Amino acid sequence: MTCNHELISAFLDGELEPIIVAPVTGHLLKCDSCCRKLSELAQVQSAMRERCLLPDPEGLTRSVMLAITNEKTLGNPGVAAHRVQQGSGSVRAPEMEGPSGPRTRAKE
Amino acid sequence: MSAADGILVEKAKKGDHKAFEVLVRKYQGRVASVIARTVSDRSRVQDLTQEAFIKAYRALPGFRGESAFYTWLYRIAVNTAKNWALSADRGVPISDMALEDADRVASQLHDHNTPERHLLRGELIAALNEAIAGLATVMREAIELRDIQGKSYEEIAAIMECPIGTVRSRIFRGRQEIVDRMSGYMKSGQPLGPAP
Repeated sequence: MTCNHELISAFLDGELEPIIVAPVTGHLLKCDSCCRKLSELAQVQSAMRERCLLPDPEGLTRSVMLAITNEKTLGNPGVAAHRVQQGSGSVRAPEMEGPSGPRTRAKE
Repeated sequence: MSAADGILVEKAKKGDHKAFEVLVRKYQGRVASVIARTVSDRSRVQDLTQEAFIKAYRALPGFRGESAFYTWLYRIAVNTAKNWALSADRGVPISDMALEDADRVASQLHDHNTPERHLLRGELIAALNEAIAGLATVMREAIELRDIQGKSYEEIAAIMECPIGTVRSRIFRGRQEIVDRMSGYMKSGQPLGPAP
């Protein structure tokens, strides 16, 4: 299927007709543009419902996925902590609990 | 659980990172909202949102789909926020605490509201209200029925006396206009907290 942002909005609401759930979901797995649109529309949905906005949803998604990929690749969650630059600030992946012991974190 | 979430969860369980990414994109705003109810520090909300998703990814093999994916994710987010608040208030290293324990001591947590938070909330509400006010009436009505009153598309169609396809279109166009009107604000690097 081709990009259809109206269907992405309906996907966000869980309001897709059953027959197009699989094609739309499959399209999202392949289309970065529609993934970014999903993030934008989800931001508006949260703002409407909860009056809460993330400053950089793209950066957050990247950080989460990078942490997960590193954890998987390195095979050692304990060394997966990293820092990802995002605009004016940075987001640190949380230190991760390794298989041999509890997670620790510097005192805030 | 919605059919789409079911597809994505099953793929993510099998190691499809892109499937988990779509779930992150879909729910990160709502998870941040949950965390911001407990944590007022603006950068910390984003940090803890990230942490909640990483916990969810690790716990995904144990998710059996007995509840909606978001219900399961919501509890992880609440637990993450409460653990952080407890550790911050008591000056102890953060550690995973059973949700029941976190619930029991939640009343001891400090009120994290600050004047800055109130100010930012006011800015957000003003910008959002302005964006909503600029929408065509039919779009504004559809999006408010959906996002504020939680009506289904079918219910909205009945209320607005139009086909479901028209409801879908009005909601999408309304959201897109809000994205366009608030784009500068949303990219300003100003994380904004929730209303009480």
